Amino acid sequence: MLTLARGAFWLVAVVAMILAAGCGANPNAGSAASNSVSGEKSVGAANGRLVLLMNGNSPFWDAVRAGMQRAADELGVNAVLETNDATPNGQITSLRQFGTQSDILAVAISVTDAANVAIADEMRKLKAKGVHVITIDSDVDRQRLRDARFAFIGTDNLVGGRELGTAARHLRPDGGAFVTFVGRTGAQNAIERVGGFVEGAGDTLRAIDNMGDENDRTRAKENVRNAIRNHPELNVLVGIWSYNAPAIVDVVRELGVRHKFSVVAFDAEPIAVAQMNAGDIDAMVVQNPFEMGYQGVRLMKALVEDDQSTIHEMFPRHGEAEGDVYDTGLKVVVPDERSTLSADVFGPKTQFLKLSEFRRWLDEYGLKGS
Amino acid sequence: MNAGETIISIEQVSKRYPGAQALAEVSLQITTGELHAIVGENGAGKSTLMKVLAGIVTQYDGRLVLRGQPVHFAHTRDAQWHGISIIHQELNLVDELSAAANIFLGREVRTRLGLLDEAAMQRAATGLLARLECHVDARQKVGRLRVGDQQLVEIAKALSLEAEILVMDEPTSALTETEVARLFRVMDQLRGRGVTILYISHKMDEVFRLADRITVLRDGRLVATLRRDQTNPREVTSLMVGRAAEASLVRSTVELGPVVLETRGLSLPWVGHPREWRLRDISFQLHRGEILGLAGLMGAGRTELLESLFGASPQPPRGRVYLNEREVQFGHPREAIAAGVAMVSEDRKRLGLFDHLTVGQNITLAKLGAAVRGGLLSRRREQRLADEAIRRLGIRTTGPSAPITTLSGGNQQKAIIARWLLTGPQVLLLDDPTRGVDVGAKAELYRLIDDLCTGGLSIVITSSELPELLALCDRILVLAEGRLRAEFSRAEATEQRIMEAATLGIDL
Amino acid sequence: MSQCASGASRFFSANRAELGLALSILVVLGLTSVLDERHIYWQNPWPSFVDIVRQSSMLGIFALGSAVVIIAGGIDLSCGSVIAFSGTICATLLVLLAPEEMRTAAVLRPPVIAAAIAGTVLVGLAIGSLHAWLITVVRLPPFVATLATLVGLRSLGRSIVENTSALHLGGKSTQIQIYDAGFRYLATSVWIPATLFLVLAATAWLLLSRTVTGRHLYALGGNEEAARLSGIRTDSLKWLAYCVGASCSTLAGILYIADQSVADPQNLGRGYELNAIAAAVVGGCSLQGGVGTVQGTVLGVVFLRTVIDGVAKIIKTGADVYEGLIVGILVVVAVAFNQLRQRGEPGRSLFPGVLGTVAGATLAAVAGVLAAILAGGVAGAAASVAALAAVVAAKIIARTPARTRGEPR
Repeated sequence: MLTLARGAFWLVAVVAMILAAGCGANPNAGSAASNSVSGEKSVGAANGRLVLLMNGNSPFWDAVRAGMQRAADELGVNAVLETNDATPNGQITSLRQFGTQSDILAVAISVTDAANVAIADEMRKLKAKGVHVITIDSDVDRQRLRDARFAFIGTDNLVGGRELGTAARHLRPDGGAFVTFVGRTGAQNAIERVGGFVEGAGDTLRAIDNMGDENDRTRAKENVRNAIRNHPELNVLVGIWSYNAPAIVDVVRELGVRHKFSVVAFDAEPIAVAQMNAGDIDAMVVQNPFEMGYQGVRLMKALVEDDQSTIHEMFPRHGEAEGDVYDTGLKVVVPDERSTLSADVFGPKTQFLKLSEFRRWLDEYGLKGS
Repeated sequence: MNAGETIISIEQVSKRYPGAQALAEVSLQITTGELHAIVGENGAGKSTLMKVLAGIVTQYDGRLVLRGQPVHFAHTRDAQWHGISIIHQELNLVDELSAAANIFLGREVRTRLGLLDEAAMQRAATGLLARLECHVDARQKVGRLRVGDQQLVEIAKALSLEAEILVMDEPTSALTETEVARLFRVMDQLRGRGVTILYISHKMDEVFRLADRITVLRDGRLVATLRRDQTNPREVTSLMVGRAAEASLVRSTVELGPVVLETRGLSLPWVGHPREWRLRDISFQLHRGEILGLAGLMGAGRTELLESLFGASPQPPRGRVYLNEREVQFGHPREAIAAGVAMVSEDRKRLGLFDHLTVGQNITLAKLGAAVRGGLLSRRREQRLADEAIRRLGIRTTGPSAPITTLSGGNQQKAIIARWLLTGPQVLLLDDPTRGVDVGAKAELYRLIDDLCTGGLSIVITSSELPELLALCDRILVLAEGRLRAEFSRAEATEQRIMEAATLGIDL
Repeated sequence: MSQCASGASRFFSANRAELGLALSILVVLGLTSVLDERHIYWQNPWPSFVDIVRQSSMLGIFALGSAVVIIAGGIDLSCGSVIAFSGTICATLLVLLAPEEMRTAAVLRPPVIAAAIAGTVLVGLAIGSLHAWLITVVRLPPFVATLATLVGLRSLGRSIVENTSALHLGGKSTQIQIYDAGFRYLATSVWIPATLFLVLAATAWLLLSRTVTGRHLYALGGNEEAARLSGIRTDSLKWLAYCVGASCSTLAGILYIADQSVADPQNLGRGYELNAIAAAVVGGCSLQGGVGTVQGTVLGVVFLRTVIDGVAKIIKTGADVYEGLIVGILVVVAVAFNQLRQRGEPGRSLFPGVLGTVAGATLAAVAGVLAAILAGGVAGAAASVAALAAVVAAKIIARTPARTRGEPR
């Protein structure tokens, strides 16, 4: 009698587990709950979900979310921002999850690793199922994996890196040495930004180290301290991911060595904006995540509804070389006063802004950072 | 090997542990087919010597010569393969496995496909246990059996190896009289087949009943090897302790005071068992200054009764308990201690000792409040309490800061008793306190128990050694299958009567 | 029966492990000063000292909590998640109490900060109580109970942050930023974490070695059943232990978000529980329970941080690649050393039989690979051969009986 009871218990437990797994807890949906019509694939984008899959977790993505939300409200669609842990495996798992959910109509992904064939394969599988796939912020390897997505919306991290390197070079005309600080040194955007920076910095600035902190901000600060201690010839500190800038500024302030270093950074976290205002950051290269989110939703809606006019407007030369890239633009932001940088040293497509102008722009869009 | 030839020669074997010389150049020849008893106080080196023989201790000086060939066992399997099998004093079973699994541990029976043949192992195990007249289910988890049954499983395991040399390390310490008799019958069978038996014990009556020759160890050295018919228990005991043995205890006559503890209809349910009750309707009285003995077979409920009186039973007992005429109900040992009841549990290694603490810390643990000054523990006060206890009970140790693990079994037991005495109890419950304690320490414990009662304490004591109960107790209660079967005063009690009452109504 | 000759000799023998650890710290410091090309420890010791003090204090605060739980016979896997969650709660409370100031990066008034901290500590106690309830009433093994919170708290924290930021900060976000310099002063000033750590360590030391409760904790960890039978309220003690553990992690969480100026429940404190357990174990705590001291844990914390700092100083670029390996090796060595000292079986072979050969070969291969990476192929081959020779020698030595080796018996 005991064994029968035990067997029944296990049977019920197993069935319960299968049911629970099948009802699939959807990881962390961004905004409103999905109102999917089970089984049917609807024509109108309003009846399904447009998903943005990001490759990390930072205020950058808050700006993307704001842009996404603005577009979703204006266009009357249902868009959500999905998180993962910024590893290739996490993205693969998420993509597979999306494949099992019938109400997802389009996916915009910021690829964590451009050359990763497995991620590209998952994207292709989604395409085969009829889900539209585009990339934002971070693209796949354009030479080999281009077909995995319809188009790319974002900025070129290489170009961004170059602009920042150029800024550093002009801030230190007599040359010097730099260390770059980033979360994961192997992430695609990290590789491109650092590579671009080295190019832009030219011969006068020497690269000493590229230090990773695995998303641990306390470690990020430790890295800065160690770099300053270990290398007396260091005079440029470069923040590659968005939280590296505040980490650098904190340590520089703590050690009281602001005068020794030029601090340049990517992305403008809200606190970094405040810090530049206080004179702690010399230059920031800022992307336009708001626009990425906004245009991303616009494009996805257009793809789902086969709205050729919108698609054509965004990508007039789609099908030709580089015709599938929508550039959301770069900004270089410098402090209002005492900045030795001027617009002419940067590329033609880069917008050069003083801090106060940048802040006005932020307010316009209701953003804290970018 | 023919009878009369030397089967094992132990030559100049020595073993040193950090801080102690367990064996010092012991040399001994064992003859084929004999029953050779090894006696000595705890710490004399008997167990260590047996561990060397059985391949448990592998690093030692000296050598073993087995059947004329020098051997060195790298592990127990080696020894087993050479025909040596050991039955441990400290039970060596895996609680979570069944009796059958334990018996065949390391030598599991497999089917032709290489998988475990549970059925065959169970059949064999049941057969082996039946030969020992033990009727537990071979599928029962060993951890749930009582100590006596566990020991029978151990014995069954060793017997299943059909060894030529059997080492038995105090096998009867947790067996009742009837089970001991059965064991001796089995041993006679084995001897008839020419098995050599090495028998460690400090029970003189067993030794003199069984042995052909007796070897006495003291402090790691071999003192003497005698033929049984050329010596007597008194001589052997004096060789063991190095001094004349104590005269047997004479219990002081004591005026019995008023009733200090009384139970009425005390019952303890047994969930899921066909018998339904571990204890059923127990009613008795304990007077001030009295030593009350609890006799009974394994599973009769002696430990359960003590636990119920101490608030340590798994469920709260039914019925009523009165302490000094006031009804009490203990939900946790803490409450019992506060009311003046203390219990020294059986199996001190598992339930009594704190291995990582010192002697002094073990002693003061239940009454740390006495060592507190200004909210904090005062080292000096604690030391004083411990010193006092060590002196009063004659605990042999280098001091209160010695690790408890350096004490012999008897002294450890004294330390635990000291712990409970510190709580200032009126009623002291002792669950088999002299198990695994050597002769010298036992005598001291008896004297201590006697003194305590003269001083006004009341004691309930269980033991499987009837002579012990007969010598110590004023009255003896006999439990069988959870019920109180008989009560004997000191004058009326005999081993025969107690045994009969304990086995009444059970078929064996 | 002899008492030890002098108080000093008794002190040394009783505290051998801690003194050994202190000595190891000095050795590591010495090695670092020598091997560091810039001899930073010589030239400019103060900043490094401040660094090590800061890092040790932060780690030490929650390592102490873990040590108390381990000594009481339990284990707490949820440290890192409690740090993340408590940081989240603190930030959330700040937002709820002062939404305008948090949104506009204005200054926070001290009462607000104090209230947020108090609330967070209460939440920490609640988490500790939850652990105790799961373990003593529901009877889950501590591993399972704290595993559940390890996984669950981070998730809960994330949803709290998203909701709070959506409702009060003008937009959903995965983090809550903290701009107030006053609050951040809690961590940017080194002396606050250091003082907190010292106070906690002193309190813990007092509790464990000088109070009845402390003695009961050791008894509980050493033999739970015997402790219960000795009248100790084991369930209440476990409640205390787990509350201490969670509270320490909570305090650390508050300091971490002050240090990082953001509450990020997804990333904060990942893997920190292992650092805490490693520090406790290196400092002499046994995972069986009943063994360990506060002073040992403190030294274990300092040792770990000193080693990590040393690695960063010696291997100037790309240090984090080797940090894990070196810390791992040292933890194994430290714990093995502790165990050998406790058991003390001289002459036992470290590489017995087939298993020993395989393990020895693996270690030799690892040594070779490392040497090859650091110093080229020839060095790699040489290191492998040398390591293998050492293993073989160890096996041969272990096999010869002691008498032949001329040891006194």
